[in-house]
Amino acid sequence: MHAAAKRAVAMFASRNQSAPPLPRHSTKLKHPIDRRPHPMAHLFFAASIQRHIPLPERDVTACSVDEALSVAFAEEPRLRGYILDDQGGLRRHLAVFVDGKPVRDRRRLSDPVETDSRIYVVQALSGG
Amino acid sequence: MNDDRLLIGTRKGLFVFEADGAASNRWKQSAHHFIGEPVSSALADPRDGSLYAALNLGHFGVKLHRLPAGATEWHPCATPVYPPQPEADAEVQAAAEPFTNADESPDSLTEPSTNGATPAPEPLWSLEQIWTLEAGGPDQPGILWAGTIPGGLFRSDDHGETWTLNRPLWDRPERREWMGGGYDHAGIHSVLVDPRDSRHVTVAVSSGGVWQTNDSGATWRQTAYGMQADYMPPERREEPNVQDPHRVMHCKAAPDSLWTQHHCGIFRSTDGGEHWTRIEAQPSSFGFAVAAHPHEPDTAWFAPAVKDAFRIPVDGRFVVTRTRDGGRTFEQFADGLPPVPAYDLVYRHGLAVDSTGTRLAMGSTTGGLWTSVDSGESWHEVSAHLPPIYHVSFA
Repeated sequence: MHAAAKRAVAMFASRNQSAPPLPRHSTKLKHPIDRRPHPMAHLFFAASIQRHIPLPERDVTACSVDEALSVAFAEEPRLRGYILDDQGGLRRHLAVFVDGKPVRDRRRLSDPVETDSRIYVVQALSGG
Repeated sequence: MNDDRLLIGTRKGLFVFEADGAASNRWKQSAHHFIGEPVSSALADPRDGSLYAALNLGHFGVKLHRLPAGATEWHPCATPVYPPQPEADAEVQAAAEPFTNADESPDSLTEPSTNGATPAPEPLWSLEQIWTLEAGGPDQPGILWAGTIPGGLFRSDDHGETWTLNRPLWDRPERREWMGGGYDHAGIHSVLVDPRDSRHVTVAVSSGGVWQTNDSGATWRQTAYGMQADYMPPERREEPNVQDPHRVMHCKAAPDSLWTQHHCGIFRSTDGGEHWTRIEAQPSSFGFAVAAHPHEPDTAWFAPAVKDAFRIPVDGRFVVTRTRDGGRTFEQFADGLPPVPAYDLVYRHGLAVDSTGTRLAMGSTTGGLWTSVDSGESWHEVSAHLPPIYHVSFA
């Protein structure tokens, strides 16, 4: 499980005993020797998500998509279950775009983000 | 609980109907909760009067909400969460995920091995649907059971605030052999708590037979012997773990009397599920729903369709069947139901009987809702224009 998800699970677990147990080394930093300044990206959630949980667009300090999402999850813990499945991967019918390109790593959301990257969390269109 | 309310879970929300005064077969809609959202299951807890609604938001997953007795605002409960999946299983699942980077050719994805040397691919250990919600026994306030897809049984000891997967059943090697029935992955749709002993719980799986515990879920045993799965190769048709009981109900006053509407017909047990006997009914033995009389173990109702490959009423004539002699004979009732041709289908949780055994309610995939006050012999149309109905219960 990726680092941001571990942190999110930790927050979740404090509220919900049925959350998965924390893996070992859960406090290990993902980039322990990365001393670059973290970029400020812009995070947007589609209106269909905001129908359930209001989430104004915001700037987040993050090096990767998972770190960006973890910021939002920290503010609104219920959001995690709307975006990620039980194993911490991106839900099957959601997509995340970074600067117009779909993320490559749907399981760990490790795709990097740059300063001024624009991260969109959207849903696939299906159903009736 | 006086059975004067109906909970109707539909593709577009949870509807509540209330009995309309003295006319006991007249119901009026009193509430529409979660407008536009699919409600896969609902529960009125007889122990404290609270309501629960399980939503399936599709893109955003499964959610569970609770409305305490006397409250006006629903509040979100925790949702059952599966434990971390072993990495090898997760790798197989990742290869099957639909969204990949456009630059990545599908050919580069790893195909799961099909040479028989590896176990059957596991579904992603992630909640797809709460298929049924049931209250624990009257001596277990706050305890809830949730039957889920994929193949899970969860228990909450605190009104849904936290949930725990029952590992003794989940970890049974037979669970890996369960097949999807109705949905892509196997699921638990029936949970029966024994009124004589709350530690005795019976669950039914599409497709994985019938499992029982006598120790609150610490150990389980398969109890689908006698069922017959005509869809399997001949040498495997009587294996209990391949059976697809669409719905299992018991007589509350005589819980050893069990009925199932199985994928391949109607089966009955009079010995607590140790042995099942096949029953032939007219116009058909195929269907999804069954309601068992709360006091008369020989009485049950069904809503038949032609057969598994033809899931519409026989000859377009929508009927309810009833047996009062343990399945030896069946009566057919159509009074008050739509005229020929009608194409209503009643899902697993779409047929309910009240605590007296005289009032019934039934909802269809076409959005029809009917009630009966004469033990199913005649019906009153409450609405013909609801969304597709998944769940009907008296509350």
